[in-house]
Amino acid sequence: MTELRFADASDAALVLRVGRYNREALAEIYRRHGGAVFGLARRLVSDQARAEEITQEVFLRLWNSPEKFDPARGALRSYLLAQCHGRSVDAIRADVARRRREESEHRKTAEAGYDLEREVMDMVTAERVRNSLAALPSVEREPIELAYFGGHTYREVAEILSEAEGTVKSRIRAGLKRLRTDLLTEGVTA
Amino acid sequence: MTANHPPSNDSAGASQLDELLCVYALDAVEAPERAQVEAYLLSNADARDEVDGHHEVAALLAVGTTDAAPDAPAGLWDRISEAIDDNPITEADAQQKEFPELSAPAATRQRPGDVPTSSGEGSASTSPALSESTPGGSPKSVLPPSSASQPNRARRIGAPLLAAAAALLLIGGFLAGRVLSSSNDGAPSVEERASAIFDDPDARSVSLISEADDTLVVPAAFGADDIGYLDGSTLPELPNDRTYQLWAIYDDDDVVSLGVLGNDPGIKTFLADEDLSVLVVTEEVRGGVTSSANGAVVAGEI
Repeated sequence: MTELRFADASDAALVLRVGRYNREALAEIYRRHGGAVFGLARRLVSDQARAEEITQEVFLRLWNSPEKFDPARGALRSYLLAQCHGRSVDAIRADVARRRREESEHRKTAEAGYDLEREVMDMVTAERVRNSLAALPSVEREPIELAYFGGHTYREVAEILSEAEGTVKSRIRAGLKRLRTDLLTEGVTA
Repeated sequence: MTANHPPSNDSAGASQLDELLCVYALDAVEAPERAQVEAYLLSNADARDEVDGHHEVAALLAVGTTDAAPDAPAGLWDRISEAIDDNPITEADAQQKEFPELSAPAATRQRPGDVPTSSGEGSASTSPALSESTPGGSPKSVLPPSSASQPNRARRIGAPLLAAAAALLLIGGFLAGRVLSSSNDGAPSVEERASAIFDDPDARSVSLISEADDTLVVPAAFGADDIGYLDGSTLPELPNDRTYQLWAIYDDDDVVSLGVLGNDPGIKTFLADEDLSVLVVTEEVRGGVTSSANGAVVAGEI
């Protein structure tokens, strides 16, 4: 049998091995993408311990259900980050709901917590992403940031920005399409 | 990404759901809408494509603008590994898996207008058992998980091996799909690539044959990129509630579902590890199965 050299294997080949319960393959996937997943979780939930829990959940899900990853629908990193984002947002909303129950505090004005100057894993990708994002009209950029990095629903975003819900949806859609065009046509992939 | 989604029975509802796809991809919908969108996605490939596109952009945003940690926290991997030990996959979990169809050219991937036919009905039941039909006399069979023996599997838990293999199948098919879908711009079509591989005298190839009908031969061949091509056009068309399913048997006796082929397969692609030793096609219920008790429709040793 040919031994797969994990360090040289593609992400897809590694997931294939995870499907055969190979823990070393999962370890290699974690080595490649664990930092990105954890970084996103930490940014979103702003809590080291919770971010670690979310990261753990994401990789356990891949271990338990590798068939959920469909390489035809995107890169492994995209999949893992989407999983991470969903869980992080759930955590944010659960925390918000808890706080609402515990105290009748004033509703906070959303802060996307956006910081373009911080280091990123892939500097080339980061620069292009930053450039593309910065080039977006603010009416498209703001709702994307509030939704994706702020963990807000589009209805909340509409309220924060004092815009109609339909307007927010259409601007997010237009912004995402513009970003996709800018980034993917340059060969930038996740 | 596209807004040209097929008409729906409730076009107004579909239009509203289309508008939600972008915010759904950013997890910016509330739970009831999320459920609606996810139900919509199940039946709308264009909508899925659009969401996939948005997810890809979102991932770029995350990678490109987040303070990513080059190394995840020390000790976290150890905790993940311990959690794997503590939470073995149950057979019930595995049995819930449903297999999408293996990647194929768009023209043959979906046939919503197909009329059910009985031309292939019962072909599995009349086929010999896989253990009898596997060429080369190797006593391998598509066994239920409890019967599968995997002494060399370095796995702590006794989870359903075939179910795991079945998961792999799906992945294998999708892997191939990824490779193909990512090279669509001006690249040869799947049919053209398959044709080139089938015509290449140096390509590794195998003929899957039926013991019940020696005229039934399904060719498969392997490219240098570990992508396998199977020409299922010679298989009799099955009713819509049935499907062909492709299995791999590896050198270490792993039995892995490589994906469902549909009820009327043409050219299909799959990922082919180098230690793949036998390919088998069975007939199953639509959606596929995690383990099969059916005999081989065709099989071939590589």
